[in-house]
Amino acid sequence: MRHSAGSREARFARLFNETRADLLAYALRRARSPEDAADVLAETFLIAWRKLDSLPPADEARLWLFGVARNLLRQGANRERALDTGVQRLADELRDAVSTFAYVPDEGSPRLRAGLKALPERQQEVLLLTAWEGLSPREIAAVTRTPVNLVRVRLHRARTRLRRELAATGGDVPTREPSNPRSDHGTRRLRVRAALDPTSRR
Amino acid sequence: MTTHPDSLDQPLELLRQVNPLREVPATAGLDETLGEVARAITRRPYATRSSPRTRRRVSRPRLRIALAVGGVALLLGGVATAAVALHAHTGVFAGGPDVQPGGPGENLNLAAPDFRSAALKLSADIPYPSGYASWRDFVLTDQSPGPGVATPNDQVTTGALRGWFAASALCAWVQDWRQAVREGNSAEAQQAASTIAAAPSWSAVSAEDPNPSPSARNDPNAESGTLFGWMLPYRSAVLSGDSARVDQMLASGYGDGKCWLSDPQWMSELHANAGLSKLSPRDLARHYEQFLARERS
Repeated sequence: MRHSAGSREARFARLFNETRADLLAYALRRARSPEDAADVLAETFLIAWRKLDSLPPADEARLWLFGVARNLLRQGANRERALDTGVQRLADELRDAVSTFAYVPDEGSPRLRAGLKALPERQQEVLLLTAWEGLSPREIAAVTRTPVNLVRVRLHRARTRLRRELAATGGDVPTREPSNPRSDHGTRRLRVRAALDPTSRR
Repeated sequence: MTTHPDSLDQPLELLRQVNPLREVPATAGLDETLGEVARAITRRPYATRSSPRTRRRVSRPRLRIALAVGGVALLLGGVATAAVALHAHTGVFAGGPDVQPGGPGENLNLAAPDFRSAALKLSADIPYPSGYASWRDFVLTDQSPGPGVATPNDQVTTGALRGWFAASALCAWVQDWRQAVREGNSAEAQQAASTIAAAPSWSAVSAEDPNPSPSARNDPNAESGTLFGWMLPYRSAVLSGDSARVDQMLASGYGDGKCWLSDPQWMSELHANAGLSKLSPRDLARHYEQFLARERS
């Protein structure tokens, strides 16, 4: 659908205002620096601006934006920098705000972080998208462009494995495997070529 | 409804507790700067063709391949602007270490416009009982990321694809047998039992799992058994006429929940009712039994 210039800007402004906090939080949690987070946010919305006419509606657009930001974050240092205007100032503001971040003092967190790092990258990702971004498996599937069953399988394995890792390092996390059949959805489902999904080889 | 006491939510809860940023701090400076960024963006042109920054740099080998493909297309099509269409069949076959995790056969592009028709053609020999056409259809709906979502990197082997259909078909036949027994339709029950008896030796099964076993392991990702080993206890129960055992296996989601995942109506019910995911296994099984009684009896 084509939009007039005015309505296009209004639509972008609405999308930006409705999603910027979630996207910024996501970028800040994952980026290496406030500068990187600012750049990811700006680049994400620049891409959205360019593709506004083909964006999915409503909440799907938010997930689409997460997907774009995710791709930019994954490109890391190889990413081209998109927008200079305002980005440096945004980075400065974010750096100031970093000191107010609500880090939770938790003696168990080093163990948790170590356990998390022991997981394959894609398992880490579904866990963090669930725990920190509050996304459902369906939403994670949309963000990562992965079939929802594969997300569920991956999430289940990640939770099971993290619990094992925590238990192995002396935690009080229960080690008994649950017998809940819904939690693993069968690996032949979505055996999308494992070469494209290195974690599924494990 | 009760929450399972040994819920796997515990690791997630621990992660939530160490979330480094609960929310973005709301400051006037940040708000103003974000507004600046938004305004700067909307001053940019939005015709993507004129924005070289977003254009991907093409490596020389890729460029050469693209030129070669374009040249061939030009020769074959005789058109000035040759577009290289994406087809389901890639002509690339899994080999060596790829076979075990990804299944045998040719790699198929999930994003290709003809993927659906190619998949249905490739699985046409896998039988479904009458009245279960939606189950065959659901395999693709459920497994494929869908048009516009899949990318050219999303691929599946023909072997794995046929395996999806084989598992779904076996579950459909089990449901068909169960219903025929309840209705006293012995002819239908016999046909279903015969089909289920042969299922472990279907080519779609044997190509991936030549010796299915419910206890041995050749799939590191399965709960137990080989890839299609879960079919055998269903077969044994059906062939011995043990409908209670069949019901019990269905209700408990035996076999990594494959028969649940193959059932479009049950999956629709699960998706429509988020509260079901919080049920204990026992309560969820009870709910599934009620579903079966309501839908199929």
